[in-house]
Formats: sequence, C-alpha cells, structure tokens
Amino acid sequence: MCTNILISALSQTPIYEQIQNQIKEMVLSGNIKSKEQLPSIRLMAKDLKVGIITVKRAYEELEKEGIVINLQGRGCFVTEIDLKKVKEIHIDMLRERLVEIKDFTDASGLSYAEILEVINEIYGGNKHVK
Amino acid sequence: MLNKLITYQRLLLNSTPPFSSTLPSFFNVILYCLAFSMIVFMNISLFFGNTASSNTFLPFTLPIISIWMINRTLHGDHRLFETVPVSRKYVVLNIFLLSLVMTFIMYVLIFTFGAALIGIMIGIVYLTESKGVNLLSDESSLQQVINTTKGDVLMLCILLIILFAGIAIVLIRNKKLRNTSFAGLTVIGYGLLFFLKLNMPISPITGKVEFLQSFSIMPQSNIILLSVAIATVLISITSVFIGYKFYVRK
Amino acid sequence: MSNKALEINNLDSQIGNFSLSGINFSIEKGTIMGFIGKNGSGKTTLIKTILNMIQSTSGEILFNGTPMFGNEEEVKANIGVVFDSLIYPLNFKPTKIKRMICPFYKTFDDKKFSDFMKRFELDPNKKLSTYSKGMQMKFGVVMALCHNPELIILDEPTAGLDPISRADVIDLLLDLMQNEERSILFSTHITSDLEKIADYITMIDNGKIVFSKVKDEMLDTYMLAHIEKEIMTDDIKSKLIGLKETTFGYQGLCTNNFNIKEIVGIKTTRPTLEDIMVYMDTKK
Repeated sequence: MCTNILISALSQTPIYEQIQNQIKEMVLSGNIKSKEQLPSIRLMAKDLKVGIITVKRAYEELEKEGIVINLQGRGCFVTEIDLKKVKEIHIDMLRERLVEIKDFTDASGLSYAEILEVINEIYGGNKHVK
Repeated sequence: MLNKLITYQRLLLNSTPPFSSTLPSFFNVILYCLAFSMIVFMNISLFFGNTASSNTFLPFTLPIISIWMINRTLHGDHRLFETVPVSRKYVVLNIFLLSLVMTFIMYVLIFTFGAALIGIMIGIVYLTESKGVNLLSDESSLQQVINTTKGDVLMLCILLIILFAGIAIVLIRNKKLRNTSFAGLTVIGYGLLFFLKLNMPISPITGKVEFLQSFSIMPQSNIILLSVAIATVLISITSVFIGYKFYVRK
Repeated sequence: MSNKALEINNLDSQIGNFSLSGINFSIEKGTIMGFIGKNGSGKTTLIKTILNMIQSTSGEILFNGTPMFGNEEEVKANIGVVFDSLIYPLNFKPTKIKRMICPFYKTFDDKKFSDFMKRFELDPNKKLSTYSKGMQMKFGVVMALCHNPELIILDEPTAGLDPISRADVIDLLLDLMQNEERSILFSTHITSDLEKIADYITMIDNGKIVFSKVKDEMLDTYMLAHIEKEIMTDDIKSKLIGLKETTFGYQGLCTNNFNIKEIVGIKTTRPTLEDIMVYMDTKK
C-alpha cells in the first residue's frame, strides 16, 4: 500500500498532509477497506523516506477526522465509514480544490461566465467540441 | 585480556605517524630539521669527546622521537583509539606502554638496519670536530680497559626519565602549557647533564671527556647513580599519576 | 533509563579560538535529529565535545541518562560514530581493521559486518587505499554499525558521496530506525536529506544553538514571503527575518502568525530548510 503514496518534497503542502490526503482518498474510494490495518509508523516512514514524526502526525490527523483509529500497542486501523460522513468529507475536499482553482482564475482574469462554460463542458453536455 | 592489550597497542601504533599522517607542511619540515639539528648538537656537546658512541646517542634520541610521534598522535586528527570503548585509565596506561614499545621497536630496527645511520652520525661528528677524531666505532677495545656499565645504567635511567616525564607532558591538553613544559624539561635536563659533564674527569685513554667512560671512573659515580636511579623510579610513578590526572579530569 | 537517547545541558567547551556556549538540546529515543549549520558554526566541535574528544568546561552530557565521565566504556559501547573523514588506517584491509576493532565491542556481530559490506558492495579483501572516497565513507558507516549501537552519530557522512551512494546510506539508516530503541544524530549541510527523514532539527551558529525543534513544526511556523517592490514598507520590513532583494521585489522569512498573506502584492510559500538556514543567517 505504501508504494501507492507519492510524496513531493517540492509541493507547498506539508508532507504529513500529503500522506494524510492520499490515505484518505484511498479509504474513501474503497482501495483500503474498513477495519484494515495501516502499516506501522516506522515502516511507512522508511518506505516513504520521511521522518517518523511526520507519519505519526498524518496518522493523528486521520484519527481526528475519524478515518482511522489508533489502538495503542496494536496499530492503526481504518474505521467503519458511514456514507453521510464520506459525502461530507468529499464536499470538503472539493471545496479545498475549488479554492485553488479560484486562485488560478482570479490571476488569469477569466469571467464567471467563462468559468461556468468550462464546467458545463466537462460535466454536462458536449456543447463545445474541440 | 592480553589479546585486547596487544590489539590496542596495534591500534595506537597505527594511529601514529608515519602510518597515518598526511605530508607535513613546509613550515613543519623546517621545524623538524631544526629540532633534529638541535638534538644532534646536544648529543655532540654532551656525549661525544673524541669518540662517538651509539650507547649515548640512542638512549637519548630514541625516546625523544617516540614522544614526538605520540604527541602527534594524541593531538592529531585521527582519533580511532578514542572512539573505541575503553576507559580513560586504560588509554593512559597504554600510552605509557606505547612509549616503551616504540622505543624498543626502534632499537631493534636500528640495530638490524641502522649501521648506515650510525655511520652518518659519526660522519657529522667527524666533520664538526676540528681537532680530528679518533674513529672508534667499536668500543670493545676501550671497554676492556674501562667498564662502562655504570655509564650504561645512567643512560638507561635517562631514557626512562625522558619517556615517562615526556609522556606526562604529552597528556597536557593545553597546547601552550604543553609546549612550555617540553621546553622546560629540555632546558632542565640538558642543564643537569651538562653540569654533570663539566665535573667529569678526563678519560685517560682519549685525553678528553668521554661521557660514558668518564662517568664510570668518576669518584662520585656511585652516589650519583643511586640518586638518579631513585629519581627515575619516583619520576616514573609520579608521571603516570600526573599523566592520568591530566587526561582523565572532566 | 530515560527516554532521551542524548541529553545536553548548559554545555560549554573551547578549542583554540572557537568556543561553544550554553548548548542545550536533547534527542528523543527512536527519532532522527538533524543538525544544521554553516561551515565553522561548531557542528563538528559539538560532536567531538559530546564524545569527550574535546574537553567541556561546564555542563553535562547524558547518554540515556548516564554521564560519559567515569562510564566511558559502557557509554561508548553503545555509540556508533561516523566522521567526515576516514579514521581507519588506509593501508589495511577491512578484514584486518575489523579484527583490530572487534575485541573492544562485546556486541560486535561478524555477520552484520559481512552483510553490510555486501549491501554496500565493498570488497573486504582490498586495502582501504584502493577504495574511492565514497566507498571509504561507506566503510566508516559499516564499522560504526556492526556492534549494534543504540545511538548513531554521523558528522557530514554524505558530503563526499554521489546521489546514489547517499540514498544507499540513508536507506540503511531508515532500516535501522525500525528498531525503536535506536536514535540518530545526523549533522550535514545537505539539507535536502534532512528535509525528508529528520524528525527534529537543531541549528547551530557561531557556537550557539539557534533553535531545536520538531522539523514539521519548524516548516509550519515560518513562511517565505515574496513582496513586490512598490508595496514594501518599513513596517513589513520589521516583521521579516532576513531580507533579500531580487529583480522583482524582496524575499524574506516571516512567522506564520503575521497576517502577511492578506496584503495585496505579497505571496507566501512554504520554506525549505535551506531557506530557513539562509535567511536566518542574513539576519545578522
């Protein structure tokens, strides 16, 4: 599982956050099942070549979000996910990404109408074919 | 335990120049030549009358060389012997032992290969003695006439004193204090020996003061020898204790 | 037994004209402490003082709760050290060096020796003088680890290595860290190595500790601000640590709790360890 996580040292996102987000996605998309155990902190740190405290923080943040539960002495396990919670989390993540996109559109000076056009193109019909 | 001791000696030996050091700088080379000339001068002025003997040159010079090499080791960069887990007491005792071992090794090397070295020494004496020198590289003829045992014992004591006091000084951490102590030891030692030489009778065979022979026939030689022997024992023991204190204090 | 692999309190020491003063930091067991500072800042001096090769004039050094003084054998048996230059005699073969060293370590493991040598692809039957600098350094690492030490101290171990060898060494260290009892002190100025694997970072400058913090917190606390020339004010200047002028404006380090993001014309990015080091230095 660790090999599926890609860390970019140059990204603006802190490494622990990158780990956290990617594990979260894997859980929400079903790649990691409920009750499955995450690799030990040290093993994850070694495979990703990051600090142990960094991984620890990622796991702690995941626990705060309710995605995993940390059983002392036994390891870190994925919790039972309920769908309403999943939707909430997904909407949060969408919001985060849209903020980034907004930064881009603000800087490039595109109008709201132009943006909507692109959104419809991607999601809805095929009004504009390239 | 003996194995450990031998291994540690090997470790120390391999940390000493010439095994491990880099080439000395130009300044250092000049310094070494200067020091070497000084040692030669001391030898000549003290021990050589009309003859040159290895029995004075070696016991005087070899310990000095040992101490210089151990000084370089202890205050150089390669500190393998300090990384290894041994108590400081062990290190100090081994350093004293090392000085004896090194001197011994050098003796062996010289007597095996060193005829040329002695030849050079005698050559230097020959060149510096304006009155001409009676080259008696083999003293057996003299020794048949004068027993130089007392002189040899004196030289042995001098060797031990140089080694023990010298190593104690090497263990001083403060560079200035260390170098001052070396200078002090040199001045005092040389002064005492020179004073002794001035009071020695002329050798009846060569007509000049020959250190070994003259000492042996000196009337006060027994008393002097006894006092020096006692001093040697005292200095050796004190040096080990002081050296230990220098190295081990926090 | 404490949970600190290494604890340093109020340490002072002096060598030549250089002195360390008031050194305070500690290493939690099972973590990696990265040690940064520019050349001449005192990294090697501090390491040598910790190992008692340079005398300390005051303060205490505790290894797992035990002071070095009076307990050298016990303490040193549990430490593995890698220096920035080779301390082993060059004209020897590794096997001979191993035989010279192992009598002093009760926990020396011959099998580990051959395993590590294989892992680094080093021939134990060739003299050290035939090794390249990188291989010599790797050998230094091997020798430091064979006796299974709990504290591993490395002084600029990767400086002379090519990127592949560097990755090899770091891989090995991370492997070792699987054991929770092990701790590593890693001094380097290749900050990119520490950026990833270090848990804590201590920075030293001119013989004094500048900071000693959890690395992630460090990188969270500071921001790199990019300010356009026109909007620069003295007020902004006073809030910045270290300032550099570029063609388009200014760059400086600032703490996160300053509302600098809201000012138009200022962009902030996450700093790297190198940024922190560089900007905290130009502060002087």
